[in-house]
Amino acid sequence: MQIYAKEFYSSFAEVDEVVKDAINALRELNIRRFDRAEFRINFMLREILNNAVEHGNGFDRTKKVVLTIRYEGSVLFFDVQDEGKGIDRNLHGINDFVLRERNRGYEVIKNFEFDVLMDGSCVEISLNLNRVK
Amino acid sequence: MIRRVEEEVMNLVLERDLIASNVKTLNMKLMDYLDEFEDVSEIILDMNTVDNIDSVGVTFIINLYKSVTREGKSFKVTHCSDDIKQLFKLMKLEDFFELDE
Repeated sequence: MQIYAKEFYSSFAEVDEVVKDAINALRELNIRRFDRAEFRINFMLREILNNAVEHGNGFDRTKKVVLTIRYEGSVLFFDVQDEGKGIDRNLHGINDFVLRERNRGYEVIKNFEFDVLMDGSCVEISLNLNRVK
Repeated sequence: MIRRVEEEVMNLVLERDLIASNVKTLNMKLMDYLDEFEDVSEIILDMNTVDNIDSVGVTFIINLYKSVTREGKSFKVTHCSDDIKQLFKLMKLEDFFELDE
């Protein structure tokens, strides 16, 4: 079941608005165990959407990012698509220090029990809420 | 971000979430405060109002920590939520600076 969809232009301010909107939409559904996962979902969404804005679309405000959220069984799926080339975008245009620090975000996402699939400029993140302690 | 200086301690009190869209403004404010670092021996970052953070926000803290300790001052982060503490633990940031109540 699709529970959220939003297309937005590439800026960190837009990311903030979309994350707040998506979290509110999820809260309203009263999904079991969502309260336990809310902080980590908030963090994950900011990481993935910031990355799409910065490294996917290069802050080009004419390029869009699309977020859709589905809920199937006990699993939340978050699909993010940008208009970038999807090749080595994580390694382009930022210095080593920032890269190292920002990559910690991806390590945290994995440690937060999310599964991550990347295919070109699309990213699918999933979280089985039954696995959330 | 508000700063309060008492004796040799500067408290930097965040007023908004520590996220990418706020960090540019925070960095500009921090530049205004840097000269005052000379007069204190400790910087405390107060996270009481911070509910959400992202890795840009974490990088802000790490850069602040590096600036402060490079000058021989001590650095502490205080009033973190349990979620943010867990995040910092996952990122092994406790190895670098103290998390205090």
